Amino acid sequence: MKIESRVLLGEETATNSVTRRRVGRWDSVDRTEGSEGEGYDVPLENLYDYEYFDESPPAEDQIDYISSTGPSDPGGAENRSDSDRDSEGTANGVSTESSSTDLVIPPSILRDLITGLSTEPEHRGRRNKRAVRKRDKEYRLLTLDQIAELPFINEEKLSTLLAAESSIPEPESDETTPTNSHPSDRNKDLISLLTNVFSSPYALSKSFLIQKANTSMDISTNNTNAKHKITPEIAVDVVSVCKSYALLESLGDEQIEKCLSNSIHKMGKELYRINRELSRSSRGSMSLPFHLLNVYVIIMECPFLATPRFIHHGFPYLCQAIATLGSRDQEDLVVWFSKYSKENLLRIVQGFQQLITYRILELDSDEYFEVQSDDVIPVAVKSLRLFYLASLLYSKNHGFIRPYNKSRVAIDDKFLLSSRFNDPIIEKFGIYPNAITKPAAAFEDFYNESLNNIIDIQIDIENALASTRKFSFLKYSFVLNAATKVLKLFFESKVQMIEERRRTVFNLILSGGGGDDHPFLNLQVNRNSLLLDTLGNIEAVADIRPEMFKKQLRINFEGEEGLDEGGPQKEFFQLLIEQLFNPDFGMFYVMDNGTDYWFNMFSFENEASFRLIGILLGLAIYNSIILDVHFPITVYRKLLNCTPTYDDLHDSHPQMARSFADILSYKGEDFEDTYMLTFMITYTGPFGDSIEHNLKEDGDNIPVTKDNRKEYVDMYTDWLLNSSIELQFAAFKQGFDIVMKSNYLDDMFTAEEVELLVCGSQDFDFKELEKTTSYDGFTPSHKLMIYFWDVVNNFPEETKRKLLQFITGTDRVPVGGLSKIKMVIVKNGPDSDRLPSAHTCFNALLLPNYPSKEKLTERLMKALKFGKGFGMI
Amino acid sequence: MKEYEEIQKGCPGGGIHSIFLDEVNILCWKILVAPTEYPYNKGAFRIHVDFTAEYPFKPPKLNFKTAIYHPNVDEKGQVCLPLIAPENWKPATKMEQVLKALVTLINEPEVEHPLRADLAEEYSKDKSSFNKKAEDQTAKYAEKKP
Repeated sequence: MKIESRVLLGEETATNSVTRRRVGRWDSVDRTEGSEGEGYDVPLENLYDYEYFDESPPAEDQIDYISSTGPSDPGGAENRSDSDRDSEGTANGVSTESSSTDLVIPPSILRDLITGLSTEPEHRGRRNKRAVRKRDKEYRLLTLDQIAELPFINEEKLSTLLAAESSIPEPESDETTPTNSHPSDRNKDLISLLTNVFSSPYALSKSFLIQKANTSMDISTNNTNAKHKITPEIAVDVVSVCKSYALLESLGDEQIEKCLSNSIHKMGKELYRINRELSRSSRGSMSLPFHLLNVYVIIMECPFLATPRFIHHGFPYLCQAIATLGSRDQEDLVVWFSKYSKENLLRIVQGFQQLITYRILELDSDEYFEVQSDDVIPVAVKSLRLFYLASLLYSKNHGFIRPYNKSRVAIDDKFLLSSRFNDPIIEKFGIYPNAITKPAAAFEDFYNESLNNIIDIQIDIENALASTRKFSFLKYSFVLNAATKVLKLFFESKVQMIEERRRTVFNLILSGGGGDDHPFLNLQVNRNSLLLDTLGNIEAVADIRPEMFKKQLRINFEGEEGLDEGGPQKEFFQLLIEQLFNPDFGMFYVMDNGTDYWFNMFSFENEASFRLIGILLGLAIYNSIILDVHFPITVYRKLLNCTPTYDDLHDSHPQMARSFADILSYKGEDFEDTYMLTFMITYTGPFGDSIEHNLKEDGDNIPVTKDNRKEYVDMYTDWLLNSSIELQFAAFKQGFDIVMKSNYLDDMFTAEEVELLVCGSQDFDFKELEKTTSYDGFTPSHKLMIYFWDVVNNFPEETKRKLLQFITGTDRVPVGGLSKIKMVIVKNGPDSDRLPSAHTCFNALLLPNYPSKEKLTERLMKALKFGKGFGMI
Repeated sequence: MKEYEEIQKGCPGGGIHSIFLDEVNILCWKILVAPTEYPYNKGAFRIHVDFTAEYPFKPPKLNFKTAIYHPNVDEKGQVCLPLIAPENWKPATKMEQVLKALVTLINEPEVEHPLRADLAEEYSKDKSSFNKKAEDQTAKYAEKKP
């Protein structure tokens, strides 16, 4: 050890001499920065001098060096220093018994010297932390010489250091092993090295470099088979990074975590500063120089990322840095992370989620806090975007993608925002979320529940509409769950309806009451000729003035009172859907599973009827009405511009999918004899007969073999899902698009969410309903209310459904569950023989003050039995 | 389907059944099964095999046209044969296998998964009573052995 200290002394002197030479006025700045942790006003011009230095020399240098010093045993280090000394003719050495004791090294050869010493910088740190800190800060002034001079870290270095550490006898400790005694003291060298490396982007960027280019390697430590080629921009040996972190973790030293956290805190600021500077310059599209992107990769592997200290301290700054990266760099990171295994991506995503959740909990006490203008959450969400994209790209790289026809319909609607947010990376790689079949991390993994609970979507809409560059979550809709997005849609529709109303009223005034414009979309229908009336009305609107659909819908049943504040239109849709979907009507048939409907390719109905259903579906979404339709999810995929493929078959045709899977996996050599298939298929005709269809020309004579079976399955699938119902579906989609503009939906909603929008979720949790019910004239503890919930909670499912229908006008559960209904129970006078009644549009139930449980039950059941139609009671 | 006609013509049954093909509707096979085992060996049973147009991607359906006193055949003549249950069906399954499995099922009732629980119970608890009734019914409804 003596020898070592002597050497170190020499080192220190050397360092100081360098420092002195280069510090100048930075000395003071650096100290301020070190103590206060703030230092953004450091002039950055100097930094610039080498941001665009010639990249290659140091990079190559570094790689050469590492590969040439492969061995991790201390002996290797000895040899190395020996040879260094020989070649350089300098007297110096590290941990070498034979080394001489000197001393001041001329700065001119410092670079060679330092790169030649594997265990040098940390010792220097121990000896004189301040000197190191100065040196560390001022690197910004310098060029490649000094980058090369920076400390770095890799696996070998780490293990060498640790090995050295554990061999040091601890004088203070008696029986205990060195590992357990005074860990804070023990790992001092290590910590100072980590501090140096992890607080300097340049130092970290030359750490863990890949030894040999073009080697393929395993990204994750133990799982995964994701092999990949190294991109030139990022050259981190992630395996080695993981191992090193594991090594650090195994020490169980809290100091290490603390030091990493503090260092990365600084690092984040540094990175941010660099990014900001880059984007400020005219060369804004420029990528980060050197291997600086490596830094992000290395940090994302840090196992302490999700610890409370980290979340509080380092993580937010890191996010800020990621969020400010140039678009090229972001793209590179996306590509890089898309090569990760599912597990690793998910781990990183969860880290971000924890950060967001933690931050929300931290801020929640503040009543007026607006999450959009928070310092942390927006940048965290922006950073998360990269991993969302990586997750999508992962899926694409693995072939989990279905054809997608993004219709490039220009949307002129001022209030429909989504289409403005075309993510450039999504566009570039063609990774439209709805085209992705199996993202690496599920879409739900990106939803942040606590965030969704506090987002005020109105602010987001305002921010998105405002010309200022305020943050809006709408641009990062992947963090929003279905309920929030539905709310967003609801507000947008409402805004648009009001806008339409305002415009027409204004026009009416201007034209002196003339003109046929009307503030509402009024439909007058007769219950007995509902379908015919609707078809006539809607067709007229769709053909002549489709923009009328943007107005608020008002249904008027002939001969019935009842102003449409929501109730009649709910029933209108319900009745219409019942008729249109009736299998006897022939437009749809019930599929094998007994619940879902599929387009009837033999339907005698003309295209107008299918178009009507599309329009109804769109109108229902636009007017926030839930419908009782049961399509397999595939239909919604198709609505969202995707062309479903074999991967989607099991959602709609599970039996066929199973059989196809069997065919595709058949191992035997007698494939043709076993299946005896040709490229001609048969299907059931309208009268139960068998109809032949050639998938290919002359398909009858082309046998399906082991070699072409995939083609056969794909063609058959395409016929089942697409071409056989092309006419019907095209009309249906056309109708839907008139109202909803599917490419407006598909930027934000997944097929599952659109289904949720249309059908609501099916969970009759009346306890949820009870929790959110409010009372008018009663109190929650009123004995009739206690009776009421007692009775209702004991209703069988079917009766609950009826009650729901009675109160809300639909027996479907809205998105987000029954709690979203917000039922009101209103006192309707003293005890009387009147039946309970309801205002479906306000979800209000009117109850006279019945004296007993028996009477309540009896009256309620009677009301449910006869409750259909609207009128005055 | 055409291929199957050939196959079945080539080997008409494992000695216990004969197959008639409807010339008009090839999606329905009419089969006559003459079980070998007591108590069903006194007659022959008519069974229809209904195919869908999507065969072999969807399994065929079996239907007893002759009443049979059997735990695995319900009053409507429907049979529960695991081989052709939708969740088990494989397009590679041959009709020959299906028919063999059917004959085996008739001869040896499977009481673990009955369609008629009362018969299954009688079968396992009071076999002689079951056999007697089954024999009577066979005599009453079944066709003569060909």
